[in-house]
Amino acid sequence: MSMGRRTIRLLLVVMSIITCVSAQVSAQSTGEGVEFFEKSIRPVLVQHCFECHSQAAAEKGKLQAGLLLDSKQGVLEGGESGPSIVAGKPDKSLLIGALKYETYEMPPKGRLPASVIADFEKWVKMGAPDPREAMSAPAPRRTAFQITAEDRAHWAFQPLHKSPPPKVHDDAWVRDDLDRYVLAKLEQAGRRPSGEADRAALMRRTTFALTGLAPTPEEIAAFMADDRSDGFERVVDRLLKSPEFGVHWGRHWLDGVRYADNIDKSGEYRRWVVRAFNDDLPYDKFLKLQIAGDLIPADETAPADRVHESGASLDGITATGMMSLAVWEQVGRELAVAEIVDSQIDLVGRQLLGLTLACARCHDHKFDPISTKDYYSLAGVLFSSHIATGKLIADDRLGTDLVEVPLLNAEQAAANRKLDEQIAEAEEKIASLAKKIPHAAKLADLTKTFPDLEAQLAKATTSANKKKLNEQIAKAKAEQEKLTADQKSSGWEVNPPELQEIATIRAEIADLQKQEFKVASAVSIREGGVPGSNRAKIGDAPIYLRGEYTREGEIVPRRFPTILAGEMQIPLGERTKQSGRRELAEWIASAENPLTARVMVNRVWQQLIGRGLVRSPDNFGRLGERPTHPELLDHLAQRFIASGWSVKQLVHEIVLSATFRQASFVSAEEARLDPDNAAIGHMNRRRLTYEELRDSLLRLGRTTSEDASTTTSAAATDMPRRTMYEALDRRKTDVTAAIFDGPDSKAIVPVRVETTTAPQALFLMNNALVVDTAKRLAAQLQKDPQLTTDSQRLDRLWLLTLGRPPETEEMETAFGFISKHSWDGFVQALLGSNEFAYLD
Amino acid sequence: MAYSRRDMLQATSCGFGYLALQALMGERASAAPNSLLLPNGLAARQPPLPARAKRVIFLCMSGGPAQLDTFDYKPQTGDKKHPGSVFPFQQRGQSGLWISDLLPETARQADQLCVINGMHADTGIHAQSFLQLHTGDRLRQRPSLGSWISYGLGTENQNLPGFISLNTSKSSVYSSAFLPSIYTGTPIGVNGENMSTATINNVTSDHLPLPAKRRQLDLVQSLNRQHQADRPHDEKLEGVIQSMELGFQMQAEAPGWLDLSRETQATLDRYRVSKQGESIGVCKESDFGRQCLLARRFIEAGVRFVELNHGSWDQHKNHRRDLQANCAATDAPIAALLEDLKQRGLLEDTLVIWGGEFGRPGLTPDDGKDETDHNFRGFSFWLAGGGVKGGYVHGKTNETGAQAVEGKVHFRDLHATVLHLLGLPANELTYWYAGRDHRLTGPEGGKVVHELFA
Repeated sequence: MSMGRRTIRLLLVVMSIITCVSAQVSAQSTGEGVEFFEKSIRPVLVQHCFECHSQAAAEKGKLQAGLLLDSKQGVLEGGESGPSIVAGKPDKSLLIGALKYETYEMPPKGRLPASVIADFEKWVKMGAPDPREAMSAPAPRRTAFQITAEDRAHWAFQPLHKSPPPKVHDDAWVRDDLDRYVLAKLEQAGRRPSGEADRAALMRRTTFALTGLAPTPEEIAAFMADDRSDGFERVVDRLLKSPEFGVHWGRHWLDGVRYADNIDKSGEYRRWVVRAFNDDLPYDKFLKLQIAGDLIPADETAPADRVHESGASLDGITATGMMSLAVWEQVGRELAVAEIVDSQIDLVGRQLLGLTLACARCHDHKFDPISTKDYYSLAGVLFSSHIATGKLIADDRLGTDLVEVPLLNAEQAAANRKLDEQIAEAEEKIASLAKKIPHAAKLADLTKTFPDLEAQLAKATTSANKKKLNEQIAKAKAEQEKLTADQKSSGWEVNPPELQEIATIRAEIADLQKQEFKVASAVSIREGGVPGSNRAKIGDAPIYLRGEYTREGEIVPRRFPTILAGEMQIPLGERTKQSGRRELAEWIASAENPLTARVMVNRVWQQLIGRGLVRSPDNFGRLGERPTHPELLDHLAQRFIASGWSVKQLVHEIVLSATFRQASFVSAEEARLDPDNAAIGHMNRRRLTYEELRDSLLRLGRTTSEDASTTTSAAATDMPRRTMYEALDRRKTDVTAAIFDGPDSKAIVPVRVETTTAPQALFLMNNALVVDTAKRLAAQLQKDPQLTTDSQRLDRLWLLTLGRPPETEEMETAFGFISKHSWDGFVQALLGSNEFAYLD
Repeated sequence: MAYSRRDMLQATSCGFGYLALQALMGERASAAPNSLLLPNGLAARQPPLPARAKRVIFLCMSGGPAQLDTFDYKPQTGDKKHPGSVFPFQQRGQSGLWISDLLPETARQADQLCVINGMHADTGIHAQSFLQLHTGDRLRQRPSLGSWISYGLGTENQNLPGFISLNTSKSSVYSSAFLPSIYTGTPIGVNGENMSTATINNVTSDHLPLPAKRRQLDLVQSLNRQHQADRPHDEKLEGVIQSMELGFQMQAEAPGWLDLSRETQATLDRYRVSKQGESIGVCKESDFGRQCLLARRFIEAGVRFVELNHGSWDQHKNHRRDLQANCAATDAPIAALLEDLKQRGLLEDTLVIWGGEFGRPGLTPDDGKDETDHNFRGFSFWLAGGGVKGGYVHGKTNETGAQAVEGKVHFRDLHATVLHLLGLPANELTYWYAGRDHRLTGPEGGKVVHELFA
């Protein structure tokens, strides 16, 4: 339903109330009713309510809850929570509840005397006679939400625009159509692109951009020696095939989804993301699986042993871990549920659509055409799914237990189920055998418990635990003694044949248990709201007035934001019995959605060029920045879709362009005319990210091993695992990561900031990671049998750290320092230098 | 967002231009002739309004300290027992300020205290109210109070951080959020680290003696200058060169300020700096005395904003026992801090703030209960020094202490008042981010509580 229709309907309801109450009132307006109002009600309203609930208060900006009590219409229409009175029904009237301090506590300065409250109840019972009809109706205090023509014309909501690549003067510079857009803009301004970067700089830039790692001296040498025309393309293709590509680009994605491994405890979601980038999973499918992979049947690309018994692929279930990364706290259940959904909407909005949808939680979006109704229409879909198990902790707060799905394929699940049945049967057999020999069975059980309890006692650390275990042991001992005494007096058999039988069955059970498939679990989203909550059922959700879950307003049908999906949408409730998540996924990951492809190509551009074409990658709305090259953005988005949403192909095209190959040199003219490099007249110089810096340090002085690098287990090799696999725990601060603007496990990070601070300098001067790396690398250079002279050693040092050979003067400086001081000290100085930390 | 000149210029054109421009001017005067115009955002600057205070110490009592048994005296009235104070109170000092017997040492400083008994907030959820107390926003990470103040005023000692946060539990307490990260607080002691060994990260290492580190840094800087010469017009490269110098100076200077070994035993005793393994109150880890002594030393050294943390004051159970222990752990150190600041002439321009994210309802005498919940509708803060009235009480709660009824002060009003005392126009100290101006006092703006000023 459109906003317009809704407004009209509301108005009609209000008008009918007014009409019908007017009739009642006029019957009484001449009699005692009005007198009662004037004597007992009006003075109280004036004295205690008008300060916050009157036209005068509204003019002073002090109006609370949108409630006006200085006119009859105001009283009847009520505020954000609805009508303040129901004529004739004090117990249904919000105003009375508030005066009684039941629903609200009004007036806040203190409860009015009981006699006054009784007067109000009496007045409502009388039909709330109110003579203030002659007063002018209150001015409209809310401008109804409306999508204007201007809203519709906003660039980001337009379909992708097809344009022929612009004509340029310098055709020779162009390597790819995308270069034409960049060059045309530069030429228009009478400028030229900067020259091509030298091969060493290009090699270092590209290797970091694609894998987050430095090129090896061997790779550099091979590229320098390769004079074939496609030498650079060969490098790019090699890097795109490297498993390190997925690690680096996977980390970019994790930045946008608030990745934390204390949520993704098994690390399955992270591994899936890395794999998805390495396998070049089409981006539309990548998104669909993350939103609704549990609902989408596995397709032919999923091998049979990777299909869950529900028919979804195991990868799909794992992919929905994105939804489990919501940020929320252990608060009361209903509030926690609302926080989870808000966090998911924020993610879907900013990361996937470039829209700040979550701004519309408490009020219509102040700048973009997103209403609160849009918000709760979408929220209904997410309220109808759950990531939390619903388990409560103290004071009815929602615990942080997340839904975890064992990654069993259908065959494994069936086999485990069969084994479970067999185990259950065997246990029944044991139970019936034990029944025949109750005393002997009990005694045998007790005898077995002692070693177990004692082992636990030996391991117990807290005194409370120790005490508990000691008590258990004492209790078991007492029982044992009692049974032994009983046996002596009544003479039952201590070791009947049934006991032997039980032992045999137990061994069988152990064997069956061993046969069960044991697999990792993935955090995942599931259909149906959080169990036990008010939103446990699949269905439409109400608007929470002012974002407060205690104040439910109109129930709104599940659907997508009107500005994007139109007013004629069929509500999801009519399309499916499910939550609508699958439909949401299909709608987002569609070529028709004007935002999805634009947002992703902008992110890829940002990672490669240093800044996005839209510099607010998570906000394409009115407050976001406008694209510097709108036609280029659309051109890339269309190519992206046409390629089958291939991220690797997009990266390949951008990296091979003349635009990417520019030098980072800034001329005086450029600095003056375009200090922001909006026209991309040169490459943006950038600092290594936290991960790139740390990975570089960790690898220096160690022998690299291709397959060791992507494993998450450090045991396979002495090569430390990559930083992206390090713990990212929301409950802790990683101080080093924070110093270098590293990952944030609690917030969506659309752009990594690049700050310059003294603590970074202190890290480079004093941190053990830097000091040890310098020592290790210095030692390696001196031990390497292939390096026989100091100039060879320096040559290698330069290639390893800066990706280029040293100049003669630099050699001299190095010799001077090393002869007077030390290799360690010199290597550390290089590691602390700007050339090491920055990419040209 | 990088701290680029563009951002500064944006700030200039969109709101709080005055300070941003000053930052540029300050740098222009000191920069080398050929270097680019680079904003040194930490340079100390004169605020636009007359300032009563220059520095701030925030004694953050997390968990919700029980105001009715500390600073808001609510004796029983009438025949029927009602919630109120359960510990005895006395009038103190010349001013006759009512202070609980749980705080005998602080009580001796009564004539310095400006108690606000009409505080109120928006929510009883710890995390949200704690965030709002620090940043003005209860839902999103926004710059912390200390970050805003560093942004507004820079800092006096360029060899130390401008904003130090002691014994912090969360980074949200010292985050600069969208403000340039030079305004981020430097944490000392995070995640429950032992305060007696906590220090600024990487501030020392013994792998090289200081002169050797200097030689090494000279080499780094000569490499950096060569590198920079081939890459003109890049402010960031110059920024790193300067930050390396600052880091080196910090390394030379900060350990001295952190080292308490030169303080006399008498001072250590007055502050109740805990000896090895000794537990004071229930709060051994936080070693609150050490925090107070460090705060005094940092203030003396010219640090702009120091935040101390103590908690938890969240007495859902054992209200009496735990409140007593918390008071015992903090009372003497706070008194010693006030006394030393006064004696050194620092109190007059150092604003001290005491309080937590909300308060607690009172216990009803003799009803057998010993547990309290949260109360955000009425609670207490106190200020001292920095141009506020001493021995003064502002605002009040109703007779049960449940609700602030007079002289109500919201966090945003407190923020506005603190900024105003520092000479910063509370609602005009803004920063352009994500398409609009942001300020500490939020969209509603804060009201400066002039009644508090001396």
